[in-house]
Amino acid sequence: MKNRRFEMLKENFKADFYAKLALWILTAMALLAIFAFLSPHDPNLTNVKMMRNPPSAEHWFGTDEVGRDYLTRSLYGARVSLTVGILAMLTSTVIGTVVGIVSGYFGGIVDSILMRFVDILSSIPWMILVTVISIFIQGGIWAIVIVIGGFSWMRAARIVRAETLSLNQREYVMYAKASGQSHFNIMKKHILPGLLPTVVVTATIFIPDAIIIESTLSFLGLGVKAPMSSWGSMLKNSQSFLSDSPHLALIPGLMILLTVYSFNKLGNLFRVVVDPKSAGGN
Amino acid sequence: MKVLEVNHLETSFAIKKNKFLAIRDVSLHVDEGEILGIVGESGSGKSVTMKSVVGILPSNGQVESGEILFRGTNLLQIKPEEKRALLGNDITMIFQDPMTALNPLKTIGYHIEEIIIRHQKVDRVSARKQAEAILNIVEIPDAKRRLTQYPHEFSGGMRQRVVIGMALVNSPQLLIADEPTTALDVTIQFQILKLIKKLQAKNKMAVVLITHDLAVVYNMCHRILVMYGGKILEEGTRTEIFDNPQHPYTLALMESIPNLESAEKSKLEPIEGIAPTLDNMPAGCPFAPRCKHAMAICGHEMPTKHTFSKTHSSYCHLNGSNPAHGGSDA
Amino acid sequence: MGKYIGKRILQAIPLVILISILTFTLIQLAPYDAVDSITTPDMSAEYIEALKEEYGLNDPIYRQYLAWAKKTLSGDFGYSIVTHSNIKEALSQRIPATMLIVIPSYLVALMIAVILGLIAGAKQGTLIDKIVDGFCSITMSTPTFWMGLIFLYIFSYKLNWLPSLGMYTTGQEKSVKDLVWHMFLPCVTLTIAFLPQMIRYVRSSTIGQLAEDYVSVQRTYGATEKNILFRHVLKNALLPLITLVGMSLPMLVTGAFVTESIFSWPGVGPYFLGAIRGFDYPIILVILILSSSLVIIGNLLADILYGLIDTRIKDLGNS
Repeated sequence: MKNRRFEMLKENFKADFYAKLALWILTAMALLAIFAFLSPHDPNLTNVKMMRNPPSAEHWFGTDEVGRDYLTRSLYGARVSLTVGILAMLTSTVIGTVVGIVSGYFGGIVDSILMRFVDILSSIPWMILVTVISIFIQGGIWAIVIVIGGFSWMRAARIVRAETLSLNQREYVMYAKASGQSHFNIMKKHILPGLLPTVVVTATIFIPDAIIIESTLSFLGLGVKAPMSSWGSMLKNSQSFLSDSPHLALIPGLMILLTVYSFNKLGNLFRVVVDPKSAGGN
Repeated sequence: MKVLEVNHLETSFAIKKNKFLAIRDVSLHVDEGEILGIVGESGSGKSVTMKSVVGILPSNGQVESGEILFRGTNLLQIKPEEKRALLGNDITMIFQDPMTALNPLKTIGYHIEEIIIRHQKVDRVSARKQAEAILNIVEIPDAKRRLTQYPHEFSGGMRQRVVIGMALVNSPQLLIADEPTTALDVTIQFQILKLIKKLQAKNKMAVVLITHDLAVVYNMCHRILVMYGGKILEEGTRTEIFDNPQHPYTLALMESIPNLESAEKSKLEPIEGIAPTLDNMPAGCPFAPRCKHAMAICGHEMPTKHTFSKTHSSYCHLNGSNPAHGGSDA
Repeated sequence: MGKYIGKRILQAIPLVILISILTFTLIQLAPYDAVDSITTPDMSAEYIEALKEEYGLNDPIYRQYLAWAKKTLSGDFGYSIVTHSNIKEALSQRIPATMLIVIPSYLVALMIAVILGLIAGAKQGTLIDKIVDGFCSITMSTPTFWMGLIFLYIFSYKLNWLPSLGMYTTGQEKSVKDLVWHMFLPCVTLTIAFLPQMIRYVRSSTIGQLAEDYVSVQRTYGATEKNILFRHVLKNALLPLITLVGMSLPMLVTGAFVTESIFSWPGVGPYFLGAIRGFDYPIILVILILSSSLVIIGNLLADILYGLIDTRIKDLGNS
């Protein structure tokens, strides 16, 4: 079953030019972010003689408002944006999966309480929830990861719960229960593996969302703070110089666009394989 | 007078990048006032054949070759608008599932009147009169009120009557019924079949009845076509097929149902094995892998047509030499 | 049906109460003392104490909550602790301002989405479908604030066609033309932000309907594709949109946060963000409760509306 899915994924991937492009973009983006330190420019070296220069042979992406090389800044920004995106995805997926399994597996009162909690959290418009939470948890990259990942797992929990409910009815799970295995073991050995495809899809689809949210929060001044910078905080800074130095706004935005587009594209590819109906054509 | 004539039809389905023939060299005809039954298991190509005729194949299906003549006009060569003028008018079709055949947001009246207006170019008032008349014909009581109701207010059997009404309102020459009673309760099945037969006789329509149910064929049809794996394996009149089956598959089909005429319970013998799928079609006779009489040659060579009478023919290697006639291989 | 609606409303009320308790408690747990916002370092300890007493900050939490809930229910939203302005008054100007850009943008987006979604769905797999899909993929991947910045740069700074900031040009507060002029960029930004999800919704709904049996029945009865699309599929495909519209209710307040702050539109967004930055907790609380209630009411509305049309719709699914 798994193998056939994998074959299908490979086939769909090969047939889709944009999916291949997306993978290339993400690989390139990840490598550039990791090896950002190889850049000949110091990301923090200011130069008052070179403020907000447009792109040139020496500074491909120009320089920022204090004369730092914008390409190097963008690559360091990529580190923050990608790290936040991936860590937030992991946080959200882990919480969502645990809540979903526990809720679906035990049912009854446990299920009622957990799902009521999910209802409450999902009733607060997300943007509002996250901005409010962001004033409580501050400082560094982890704060943003917790803000984004820690309050966006509700959808994942609902999906995992529904899936767990159906797995609960399978013979091998019933058998495991009847033979007296521990709850933890059943969940780990029998339910979790069955959930894997769904969890992978939910997780992949969440990364681009997390990246956009991080950039939005940072743009509003509620996310990454100086001296650290992400694409979103770079855009925030660019706002004051928009009319004279549009390149400062254009470049980080394009990087977000490319990254998010690529994650979306690959996420959709996974989804088509795991759940062809929900993907709706194409 | 031949109403429909299909010659050497081949229809293919594209699965991923490969094309598979779902219909292979199918030829048939239906005369005025005649009911032709096409029998086969699901996947035998009986439904695809008629979908090719009407032109409602799924998007990955395509007619590869052959001709489909309706009163001498090749339906594969006329313009789409000419074809649409025939559909719903001279050629109509009823479907397996009456529950999904109607638009849930449109009244029954709308469904019928739309077809009348489309083909007869009459006004709403006259269309409504005809619609009311047709509901009476298909024996739906309280027609006037029923016309203003929505599909969900009708039972399955009543809905199938509505669909039959839609099919008959323009007095077609050819009616194609694709498993018209499969989705209905047994008692309702009988009523619907009786209705079709009655209206067929009255209007002298040509009818093609697609079914997997031999009892239905026996009660309804003048001539019968047995299909398997996209091919015709045997054809003949009702008497020829039921009294003198020549193909092992036809025989096996009969053995798998309760005795039709005598009340005594004969031994049911289900056909062993499963029908071949499109991507796994044997090179020779499609039935060979499940046939009790299969010989070496059956696996790689398709038998030629063997004619027993003007109306009766079969495709089996046994037909030439040692006919499988007799039913039992004891 | 009436029973069902009653039951759903009864379920919704405790949810709103729970949310209010939760958020109220949360705000109390904040790492700041709310009083920090209203004091300056040179105030005397006695003065600060008096201030705390005045704002009820010395009472136990549950008393504070009850007092607050009672006041809020009676329509008294209290005062900002930073600017001391009346919250209700401020909101009564800011919510209409937000609605002024959200409603037209939403309606325009809905109209475009219906047209493009129908076309794309009906012509699935063709060039036009691919173009629409590409548009959706790209706009979905574009942060709204960045799109706003780009529009601002092109249309306001470079081409000088449209004003960049605010709601009015100073001195022209009464001019409708000036207002529409200012609305233009935020509305375009919002419309594009709303579009991709809506288009995809209509598209997949159309594709789903076109796959229904009744459509192929219509084909066998000689209906043209145009006929099928407009006389049969359209209504079926668009009815589920009612739920989407119902669930969009909270957007009236919170739908334009980011866009408003880019274009300095004096709506709820900048007000709330200002409150967040200044930890102006009475404002935060009111907006939290208001927007959550709208989410719950919106879901309720969507459920009820769908229930009403469901009798006919549900026929399609189960056969």
